[in-house]
Amino acid sequence: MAISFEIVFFGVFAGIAVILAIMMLSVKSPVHAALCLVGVMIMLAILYLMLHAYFLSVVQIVVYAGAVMVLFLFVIMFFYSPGASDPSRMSVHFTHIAGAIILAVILLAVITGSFLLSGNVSLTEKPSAAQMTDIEKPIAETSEAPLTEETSRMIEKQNPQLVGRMLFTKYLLPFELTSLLLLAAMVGAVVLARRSPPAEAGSAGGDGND
Amino acid sequence: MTSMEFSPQTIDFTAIMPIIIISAGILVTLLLPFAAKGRAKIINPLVALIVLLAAFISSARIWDLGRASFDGMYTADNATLFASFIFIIVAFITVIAITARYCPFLRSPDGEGLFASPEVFPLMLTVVVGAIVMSASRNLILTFLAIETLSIPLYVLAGMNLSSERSKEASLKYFLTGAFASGFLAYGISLIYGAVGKLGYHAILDACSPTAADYTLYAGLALVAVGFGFKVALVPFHAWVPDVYQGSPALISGFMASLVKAAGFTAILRFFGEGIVPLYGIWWVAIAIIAALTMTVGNLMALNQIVLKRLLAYSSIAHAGYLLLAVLIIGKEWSEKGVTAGAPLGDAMQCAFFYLAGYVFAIIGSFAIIWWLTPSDKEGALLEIDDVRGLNDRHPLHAALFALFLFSLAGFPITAGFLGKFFLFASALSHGFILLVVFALLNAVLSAYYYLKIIVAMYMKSAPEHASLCEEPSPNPWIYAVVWTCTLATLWLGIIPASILGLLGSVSVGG
Amino acid sequence: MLTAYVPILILFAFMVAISLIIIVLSHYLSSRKYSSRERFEEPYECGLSTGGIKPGRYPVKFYLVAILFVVFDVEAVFLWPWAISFQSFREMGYSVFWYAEMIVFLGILLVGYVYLVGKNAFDWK
Repeated sequence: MAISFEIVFFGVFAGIAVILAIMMLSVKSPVHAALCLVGVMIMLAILYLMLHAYFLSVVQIVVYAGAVMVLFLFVIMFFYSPGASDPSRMSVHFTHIAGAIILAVILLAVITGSFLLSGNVSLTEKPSAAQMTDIEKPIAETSEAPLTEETSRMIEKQNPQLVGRMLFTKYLLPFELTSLLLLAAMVGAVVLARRSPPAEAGSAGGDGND
Repeated sequence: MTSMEFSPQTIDFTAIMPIIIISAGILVTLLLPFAAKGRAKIINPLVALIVLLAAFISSARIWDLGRASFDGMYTADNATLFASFIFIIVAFITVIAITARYCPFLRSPDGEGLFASPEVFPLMLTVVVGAIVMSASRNLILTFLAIETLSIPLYVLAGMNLSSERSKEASLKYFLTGAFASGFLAYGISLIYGAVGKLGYHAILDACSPTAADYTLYAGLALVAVGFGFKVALVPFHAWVPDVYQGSPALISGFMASLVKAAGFTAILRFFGEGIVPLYGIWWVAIAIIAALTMTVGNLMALNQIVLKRLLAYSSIAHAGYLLLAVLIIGKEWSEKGVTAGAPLGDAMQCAFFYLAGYVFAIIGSFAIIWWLTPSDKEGALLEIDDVRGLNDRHPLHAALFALFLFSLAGFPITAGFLGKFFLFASALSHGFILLVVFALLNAVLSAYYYLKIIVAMYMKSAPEHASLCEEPSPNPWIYAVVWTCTLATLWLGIIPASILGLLGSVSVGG
Repeated sequence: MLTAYVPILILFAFMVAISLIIIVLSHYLSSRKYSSRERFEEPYECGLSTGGIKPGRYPVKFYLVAILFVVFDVEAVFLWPWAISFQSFREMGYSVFWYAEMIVFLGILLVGYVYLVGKNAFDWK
């Protein structure tokens, strides 16, 4: 019962995502295309939610549908003057569609083919202990049997807490490294966004206050 | 140690002390220009040098201790430490060379822009942190983040010369290919995680079985290999290298050609050697073909180059091809013997590190000489072989040192390059890669042609009428220090290899 | 399982329905001066006729602000799992450690913030 319920919802949201993705490619205005992309991302967030990946779902909305899309829009506005419609978007060539279909088929083949061939995936069975991921492991270890109904419910309920616990214990080093990464990105954005090299006054300093 | 048993006391701070020190240095060098104003020009590089020295010492102090931290995710074994020494020395040399700009009697040859920005130092230190973590990482997430930490500052450094269109182009191209490579890596990592449910190399090693075919895992590994291939510029993924190395400021090109390649290969050796070695039977053919292609294409493309920086870029691609031999050797050795913690590294790692050490000094020295010789009104990106004709008549010292570095890159005796190639090829031969070694030798002969072309131009041709070189390469003590360091290192490794080999002999896989 | 999300789903359905109803109603009830096709591509300013869009590209400053927004947004995302994992850290007796982790993370980014302020990156000249 539960499975069929989920499959219906999956079908609805995945279907909307696919339709929005096609619209993104076919609408004339790049800004409308970006809005369609926001829709796709929100649908993906819902799919993550259905997989009980709550943290990922929130990240998807806050970072991708939020911040990254703002960046996309600014980049679109930067390269394209509003009002004028982009001629390159008008003519969708046959080769573009063929290329997109070929890529999609390859992607599908890699994902489904590889999983099905190796028997890694099953639509009905719960994962065995060997297939459990790092996140699921600590919970399963506390109980006798790997992944009973109860423990899997715990995973569903406590997912973000578990992510937090993993992130701040086992994955602490990658987490702290992220701050250096973000720092470098900040500095890089400022350095590269400067229009021209700062006026070098030779002996006079003041590099800091550009 | 699962998260259940986690305790802060299990974090080994001595293992990560080098990166803590350098990270602190990043923060200080970033903010110092605001406080120090004009004096920052001297203080900032000085702080960077002190930080690098401190990191070197703190790395040396844990030599042979086989420290590991974060549940074995970060290993400060001797392989990591030796690689760290290479990174730190490379960064040290580059910082000194950049500092030469601040000396009053040197006009900046390679664009004002690079050296007018005090951000060079924090960005370079960030690259070093990324490189050290990359070589120490035994977890795909950490490896991925380290690669990003290494790459993002490099995109910026490549575009630092704001007055040059080529530099901007280099930055953009490097960024786009880098982003593409990261995409491959991330997708590959997620497939591996999907197949195995683990990200640690040891867990992947346990999960890999050469008998039961797992195509999800294979697809993931292939994508991760492609990602690595972009980063160290193996042949089907090398197209960005010539433009990026040509457009970037020469010192940064040298920095990229040496440090990124060394970091990338350390990470590759670790992943292939400690992670997926049971699947050696599956990946060795692909790696062997890529190795052969990389050497050949790199050398063939270098033959007709007339711009010096472009020529060196193609030659660095060829060197990546030779280094892939080490990956094959390590795979063969460890798939037969099995990996045991604390075991000696074996030939492959020793050869690879010796080769890297020799290569690093020669390539930085070459780029530093190019930087030194470029006149202030001309872009280093355009310096051609014709420009260095008759260099011996005008600046015999520069010609001699440049020739030495080129001999080392080509692999002539008494230089580090010769012994590096000799050890690597001999080891490959003893492991049965006869065809590949023959191929590599033919390539080495081929490469001698274009290195000698430069040397012939410097020594046997007369100077062009319109001299487009720096008339009077400034007698700057800093730049002398850099070039002489590279020279001494190249000769030292070439003549007394035992000193380094002795050190490498004690390099072992972490315990 | 996902029953907790049913109210959200209903809210979502209401949102979509109300906006659809308003659009359809305004289409039939309002008097129109222009054909809808003509005005479709123009920005909507509460029913007033727009002053038009300034021609030309947007300045690059927008881009800098946007990229800094992404950086700080990614930073902020980490605060959520950190905050809700406090309970389990306190059970283990590592509250101070838990606090220190985020202080280090934020401290590094604070240096970045000071750098940005010092560089006048937030000034809209």
